[in-house]
Amino acid sequence: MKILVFIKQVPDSSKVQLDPIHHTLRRDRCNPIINPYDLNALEYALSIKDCDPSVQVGVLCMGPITAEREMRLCLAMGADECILLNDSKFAGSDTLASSFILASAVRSLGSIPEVLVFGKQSIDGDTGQVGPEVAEWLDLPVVTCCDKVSTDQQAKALYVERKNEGITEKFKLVLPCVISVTSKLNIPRFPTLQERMLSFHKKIRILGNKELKIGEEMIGLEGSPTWVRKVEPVNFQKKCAFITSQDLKNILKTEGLLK
Amino acid sequence: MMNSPPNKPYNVMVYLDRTCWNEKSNKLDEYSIQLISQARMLADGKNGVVSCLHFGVFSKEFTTECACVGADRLVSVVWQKANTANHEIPIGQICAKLKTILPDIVIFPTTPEAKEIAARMAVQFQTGLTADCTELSYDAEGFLLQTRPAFGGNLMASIICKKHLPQMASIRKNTFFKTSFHKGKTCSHLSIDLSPGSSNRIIRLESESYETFSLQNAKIIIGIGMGIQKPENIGFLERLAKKMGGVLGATRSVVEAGWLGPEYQIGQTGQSVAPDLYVACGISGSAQHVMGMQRSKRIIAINRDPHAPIFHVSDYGIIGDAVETIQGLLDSEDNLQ
Repeated sequence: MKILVFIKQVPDSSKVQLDPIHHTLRRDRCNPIINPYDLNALEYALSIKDCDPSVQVGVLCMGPITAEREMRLCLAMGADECILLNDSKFAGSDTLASSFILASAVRSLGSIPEVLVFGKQSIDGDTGQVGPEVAEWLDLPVVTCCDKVSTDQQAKALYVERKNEGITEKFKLVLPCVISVTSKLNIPRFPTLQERMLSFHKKIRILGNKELKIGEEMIGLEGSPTWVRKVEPVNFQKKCAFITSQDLKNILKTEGLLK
Repeated sequence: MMNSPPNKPYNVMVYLDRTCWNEKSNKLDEYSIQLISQARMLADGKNGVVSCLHFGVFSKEFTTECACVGADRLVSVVWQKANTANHEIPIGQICAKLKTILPDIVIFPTTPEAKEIAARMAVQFQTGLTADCTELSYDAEGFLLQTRPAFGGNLMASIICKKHLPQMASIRKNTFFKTSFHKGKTCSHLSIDLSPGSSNRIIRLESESYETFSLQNAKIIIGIGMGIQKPENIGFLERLAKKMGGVLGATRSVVEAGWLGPEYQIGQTGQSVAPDLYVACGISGSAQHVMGMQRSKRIIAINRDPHAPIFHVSDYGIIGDAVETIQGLLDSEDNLQ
């Protein structure tokens, strides 16, 4: 069985700070990391491989060449192979163009993997769209936001669970299929120093549009129906009155909020 | 690339999913009312019409309610399933039929299922889709301007889809409140019947309901951040919440640390709340959290760091340890638990 995990390199947005005067992003504080939910996706694949070493775990990532570092981490965690889709022509792609590029890369593999796994959403785009869009391009069934996944290789099916507005939905998905997973699914493993060093023996394949041969009207800015018209800093400010805890006590008591 | 035929009224379509009808109250739920009202505002800006798209049949009550909130037309899509447990939605067929109507705009709720459907439809239409918008308007050229938070809520990005139709966006709950009621309004009905589906690729198994914990209606929220130091301290804040008749809320970090469940999360990827009073305890005030609680009428923040960004968005600030401050409030009680 082959499981393909989709990984994205993202800035660590929890550490993003705005320059308070110019309202611009302080990029010096933004280290690139693997999108956290993608680590849950990779952990799912690796845990299946733990039980059955014949399972092949591949990682696919579209990103800048610096994403090789993130690929290396995936190999250290236990992935069998990593493919990085890198081409200046891919830059500026919105979710539709990105998902088309990823789907084209999957088709170029020769055979469709049994399970395609995504993290629920990326912490920079936060759309959660690429997974189901790739599924639609490839005409594969998809269930997003899975909290639980159980894999039945014999029956060629996945049993998944997700929470949806007051109902815990449970589905059986026939393979090949696409899922996206939440952080509730598992706790991703951390590679040892030895595993990190051994990962340098594994190769990372880099593919560009020369190899994928996608029509340029489908990629980059040209292939993106949406584009960002403007970006503005969030302008929400209040004038804060600093008080003591005694003041707070008095305020709350006076208002009857605290007896 | 698609062009709208001339003389066709501008069509703003709202997708209403399974959660749009409140079985208990037998009414449209609040979120759906917000979505239809948003569509109504957009349609009015173009002398256009509002259509509601639903997979399944609209009951008489459902029809009346949608019309009352501003819908001009209901579009119900039905298909027979070989097995009632077959869950896969024939998006390809649905979009093929919708292409004959070709709405100018389609808006979606941000429920997991609706977002999945929206993404699949974006591929079938080969159009743009913007997720989790907090504002929709028109730009100077008349395109739908889709505004959403970016970079963890630090910036607001406005996105347009110029050359493709429909322009699609999902809208967050509690971001549009200008509802309008049109008593006695009627709406037309279009039923789209698809050929029977035989797909058994996704089978729905027995589901369970769970208690949804909503912070939406709370008037007082005590927000918990990592500044409370350890999960054991939550007890003090819980007691304060109880004393004040409020509920607890949490930042993303607190939820990721496992101190409280995701149902407590307030912020860009959690809930948006608008209580009368929000007491931020040990919360630094990251943009993604602030965007979830900035609509609170009054904000009081307690943090040891005088430079914490939370103080830029608070009405009152206490520089100090949150837990000690809260303990001080509790100790002043005449009756201690």
